[in-house]
Amino acid sequence: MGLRARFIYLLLGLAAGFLLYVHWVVLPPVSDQTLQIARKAHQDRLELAAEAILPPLLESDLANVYTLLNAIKHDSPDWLQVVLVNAEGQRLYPLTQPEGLADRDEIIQLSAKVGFLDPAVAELQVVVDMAPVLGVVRSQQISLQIALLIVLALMLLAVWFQVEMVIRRPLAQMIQAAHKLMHGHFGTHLPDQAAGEIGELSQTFSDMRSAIERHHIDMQDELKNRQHEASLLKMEKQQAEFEAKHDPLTGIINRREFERRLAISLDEAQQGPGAEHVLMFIDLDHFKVVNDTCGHAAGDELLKAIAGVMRGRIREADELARLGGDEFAILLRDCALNAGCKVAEGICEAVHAFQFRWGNREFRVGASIGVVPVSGQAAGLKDLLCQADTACYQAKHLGRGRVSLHGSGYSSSG
Amino acid sequence: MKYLLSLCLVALAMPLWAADSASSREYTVGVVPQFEQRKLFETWQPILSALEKRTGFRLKLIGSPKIPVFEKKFLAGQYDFAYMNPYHLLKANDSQGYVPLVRDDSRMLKGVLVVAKDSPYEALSDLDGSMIAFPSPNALGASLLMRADLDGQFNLKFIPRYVQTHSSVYLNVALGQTAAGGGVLSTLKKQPEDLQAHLRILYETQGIKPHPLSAHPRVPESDREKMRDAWLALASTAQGQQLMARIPMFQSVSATMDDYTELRDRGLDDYYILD
Repeated sequence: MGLRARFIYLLLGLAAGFLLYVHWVVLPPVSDQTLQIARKAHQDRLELAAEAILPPLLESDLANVYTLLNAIKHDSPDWLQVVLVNAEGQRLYPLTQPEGLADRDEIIQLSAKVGFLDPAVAELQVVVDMAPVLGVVRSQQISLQIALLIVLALMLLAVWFQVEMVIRRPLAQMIQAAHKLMHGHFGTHLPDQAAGEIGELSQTFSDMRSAIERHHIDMQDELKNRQHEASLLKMEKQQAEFEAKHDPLTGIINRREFERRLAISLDEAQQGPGAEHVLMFIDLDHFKVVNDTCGHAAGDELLKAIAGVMRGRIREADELARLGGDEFAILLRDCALNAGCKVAEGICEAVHAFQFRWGNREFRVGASIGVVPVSGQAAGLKDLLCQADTACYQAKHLGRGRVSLHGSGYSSSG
Repeated sequence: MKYLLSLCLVALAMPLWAADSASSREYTVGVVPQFEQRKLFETWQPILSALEKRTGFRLKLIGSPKIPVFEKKFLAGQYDFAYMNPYHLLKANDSQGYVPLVRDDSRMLKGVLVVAKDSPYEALSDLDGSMIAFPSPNALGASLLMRADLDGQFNLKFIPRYVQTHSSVYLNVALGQTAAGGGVLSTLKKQPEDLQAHLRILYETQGIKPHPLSAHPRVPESDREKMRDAWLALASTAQGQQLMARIPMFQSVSATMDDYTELRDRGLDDYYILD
């Protein structure tokens, strides 16, 4: 149960208890006393009346007695009935028997002796209506209790308001701020008050939150830095990996990477039936001329261009690599030997047809290509490379600008 | 010569003097307290106010708490004008020289003996030895005439109880405090209906002429006559009749001592109680 409910129940309980105490313990004696005072007043008045009628009564002057009693009765509106009875019990006043009033419950009956003899000359009896007095008492009680109720209600409101403003609301705000803090929000409004325990708590909470925020920010910075570093490292790693695998000049893969991929394809061919690939080594003819004539920059440009030409003659799935200097290698995947030879010839022709311009000079180069099949019957990697090398050498030896198939005397010129 | 002159002057001045003092003259009027003071004043004050206008002198009404007190004062001559019963008039005439001025001609004064309506008394003899209430010993109709008849004529033995006023007599009888009571018809008729309903008349005395308004001889005759004339004049007006009917005086006539001489022969002196 929240603070608010607790306090309200407590205050309501106290107020109700107090009101009940007032109603059942405090007020009854007070109203009894009031009734007693009223009763005594009536009794006193009755005794005065008895004194007043004594002289005429002693003279048997009943007319005078009647005049007095009529006047007294007229002036005493609460006296419902006045009866004068002589010593023998005979009714002397009024003339006719008055009606019975015994059944009303807010009446009292009083009597006074007339005269100071014993037995008395007569007795004066009245029936008094206490309803007005009771009414006054009741309305007094009610207005007192209403006043108390109002005062208690105001006090209740004041206390509740205080509790609400000074304790509950600030606490609720801080709870809210704490929740938000858990989700990473540092800006939630905190209670304003600076005084008292709540103020101190609020201040401390605020300081704590600021510390957490600073820590959080520092951590974030740290994290950012680390992330930055990590991404830099990653980039560098990627860069390194790339550089490890590719030829810096032409951007095509290098020898190591080519040999790795070749090994995979070789494994494939050796394991799976029917898979056959074609490997070719390409050595450019008359390349040195360009370097010697125009310098290394030209040579580099030429190599890049030739790589582009060769790339254009093969498929996406095929591999083109620069082994070094002016040596290239191509792996034609899932390719039959015949088709491979054809491709080689095509490359040979394309290289030969390519015109390289540098400044105002024009050059042409050729290609000597050694072709080796890669199939299930193929030898290991090293042997394959060797065979390809051999085939390439053979092409060179046979006159350059031609394709030589390993293991056969076949060669064709481009 | 000087003596004659001053006499003439005085003689001339006298009427003026007399005329002047008329408006400042004040006479006391005593009325027998047949009823309580308030009722008495209510009845008589308007009449006196009307008379004041006609006579030119002021009239001060004086009541008395009890009939005996009134009687004493009356016999001592303390009232200039007085309204009392004929017997008192005789006495006062003897002692002070009061003369009657006006009286009611429409009725006779009689005493009535009342008993409770549901009582068993049928004849006067039934009341032998019982207690009978009277207003005061010397109330003429209610007490003197009645006691004279009961004792003198019927030889009734009874215990008198004097209860101060006529109203008291009727109440005492109605409440059974006495067996019977003596009153007069006029006062009996003035009682509240519920009281009259409790009573019945057992006996009536012979009648005499009723109460006069009398004047003490010290009142100058001119003023006495003014009073008499004013009264009779007022009585002839409708308003006057209405006022005087409450006394009661229904038909005012001039009164003389001759109207009351027969009373002397009734032997009421035997029943008159002096104290």
